[in-house]
Amino acid sequence: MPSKVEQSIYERFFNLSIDMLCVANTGGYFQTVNPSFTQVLGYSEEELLSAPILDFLHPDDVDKTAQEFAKLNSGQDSLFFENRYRHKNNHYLTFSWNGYIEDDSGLIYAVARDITEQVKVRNKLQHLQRALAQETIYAETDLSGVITKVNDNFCEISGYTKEELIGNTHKLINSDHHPASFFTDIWRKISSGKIWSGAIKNRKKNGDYYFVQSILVPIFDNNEKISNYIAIRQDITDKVNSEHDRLKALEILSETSSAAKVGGWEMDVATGVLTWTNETFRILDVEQVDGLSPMLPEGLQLFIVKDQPIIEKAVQRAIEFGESYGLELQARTPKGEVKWIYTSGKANYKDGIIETISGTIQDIHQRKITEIKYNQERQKSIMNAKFAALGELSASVAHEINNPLGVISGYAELLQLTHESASPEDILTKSAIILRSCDRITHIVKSLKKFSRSDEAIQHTVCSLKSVISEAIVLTRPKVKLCMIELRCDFIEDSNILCNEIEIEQVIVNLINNAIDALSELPDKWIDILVTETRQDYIISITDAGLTIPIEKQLSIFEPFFTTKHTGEGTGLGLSIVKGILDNHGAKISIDNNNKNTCFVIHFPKIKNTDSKG
Amino acid sequence: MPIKVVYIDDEEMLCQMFKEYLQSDKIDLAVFTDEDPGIAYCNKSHPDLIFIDYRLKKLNGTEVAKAITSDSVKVLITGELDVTMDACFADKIDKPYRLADIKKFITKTMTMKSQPSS
Repeated sequence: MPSKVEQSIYERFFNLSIDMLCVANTGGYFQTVNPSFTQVLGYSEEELLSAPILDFLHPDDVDKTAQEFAKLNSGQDSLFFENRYRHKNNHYLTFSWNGYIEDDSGLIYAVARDITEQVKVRNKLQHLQRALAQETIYAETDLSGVITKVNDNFCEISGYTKEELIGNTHKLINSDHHPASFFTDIWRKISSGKIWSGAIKNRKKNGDYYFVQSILVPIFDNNEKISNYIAIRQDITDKVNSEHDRLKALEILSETSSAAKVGGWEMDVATGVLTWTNETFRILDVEQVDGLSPMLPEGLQLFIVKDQPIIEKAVQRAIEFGESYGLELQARTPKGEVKWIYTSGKANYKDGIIETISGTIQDIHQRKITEIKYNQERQKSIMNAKFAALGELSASVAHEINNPLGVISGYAELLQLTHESASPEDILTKSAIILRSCDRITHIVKSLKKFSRSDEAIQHTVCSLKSVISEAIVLTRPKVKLCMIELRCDFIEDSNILCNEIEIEQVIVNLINNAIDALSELPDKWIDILVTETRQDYIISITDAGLTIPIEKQLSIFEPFFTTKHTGEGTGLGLSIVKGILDNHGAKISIDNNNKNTCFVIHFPKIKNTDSKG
Repeated sequence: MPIKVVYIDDEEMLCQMFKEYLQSDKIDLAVFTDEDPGIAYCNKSHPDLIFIDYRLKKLNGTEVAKAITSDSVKVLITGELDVTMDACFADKIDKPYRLADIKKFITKTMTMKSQPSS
């Protein structure tokens, strides 16, 4: 028997123990519990002793606990048996039991420990482990890198079987893409106890490549020494490939934009930060500094002073009202060079709010300069044409005027000579001839009058196509006559068009003059002018005896400064200007290829409104 | 003997007044508005003096003058501003001309012809 002192030590041990100590009887009741039970489960000792033990268990654990009791009753010890007890507050705690039965009394002596927290951690670990094994490409290696464990995913992606992989190192799947130093660095890092992560390109058994995002983790043993490594990988082949495709597409796009000299830009409305594509930097000749974005005010400064308010207003309106714009402006590069650019912008909405303004920027300097030059030349050319026409006219008009003038002067002399003998009839006849000659001169002078009109904006007016053509013929008749050309003409009587009379007359004069020039060396000389109509248009065709213009030349004859004539022989009014004038009138000029002779066809739109006359 | 003069001009009116003003017993004048009969006439009757307008119906004055083989004095008449006178012409008169000046010209030519040595 233990002494009293010993007795009291046991009692104190029993009462003070943090582990739960108890004695249960064969009836399935606690016979004795230590205070720890009360502390852990919240029941009083009386409560614990007054109900069968199984009543305190989680319903799911009742059966296995009953079995464990049976095991104890058969004389076996129970070790690390786990079951769940209901706390007085109705939650469950997991206990780990060690117990044995005393043969004589049939009493069970047992020790329990609350392992609820450990179970939670253990469960979490188990889940993680399962997730890794199921969802990732998982492998474990020993300290020297020899694969000791792989999951199915590893086998599937690499194309190797477990047997082939285990016992090998990762060299088996090395793609030779990475330099040796890449792996040296990885090993240095993980062998020093750190985690490495990054993308690795590997090779499958069939030679194909695959990319994995990898996490390599050193695992420590209880001596804080690395025992092995685990590798968790994710297949990112598709991502890498699509990223590769995306980069390639971007590169192509960038090259295309560069070739087309089109840059892109975007502005964050909230911050005013501008994002430019490479080509934009190039077009504006702005140095690209990494990590530095231009701001809106700087962007606006890149335009010449005159254009700054224009672009500023356009951007402002885009921000405020979502208005798109497209402007041709002059930019001044930081190097001081002024160049023409086209810039467009539009608002981009997100959730109904204008978030960004984006657009393009295009180098149109060459085009614009050509255009300006062309317009200047065209103006000059129109002037020249006018002077040339006037010069040509004055030459032939001189003849037209000098003849009637000669008649007038001659008959006046005759009247003087016969002033005594002349009969009244004779005087009347002669003065009538003089007056008729005066009319002839007046008519010619009237035709000339148009050429003296100034260039100030001449309105399009309703005029008769017939009279326009007739006037043109009057102006060209001397030359037609001089060159012995037969000119035939067939009009539509009532044919009104809306036009600038002088310009259209010039067009006809020019086409007749061209025909005259083309006929100079032909034996058979004729020009036919014919007016017909369709529902929408009047069709004026001017045909001469010359052969039709070869198709390969037809494209260029309407180009500015194109001429088949020798230097100095051109009339100055190029067909390009004829075309320009007709374009302004909504009319079209073309060459009739079905005609074996040279035939220019003008489609002139009829006046649409019924209220205008005609 | 009257001096034989020919005037070729497609302008009917000018031909008429030419005839009316200049025809006399001293001047035997023939006028033609068409070049062909004019050329034929000149080649047949060898006039002393031929006035030829430059701008005619089918040919120009120079061509007409060259088609006339007689040694007549040929004078170019023109209303053009820039017609160069071919060597086959003895002189050139600009339109509009005064008939009185033409008459003087004929008289002068006649005098020169009667004194070939001068």
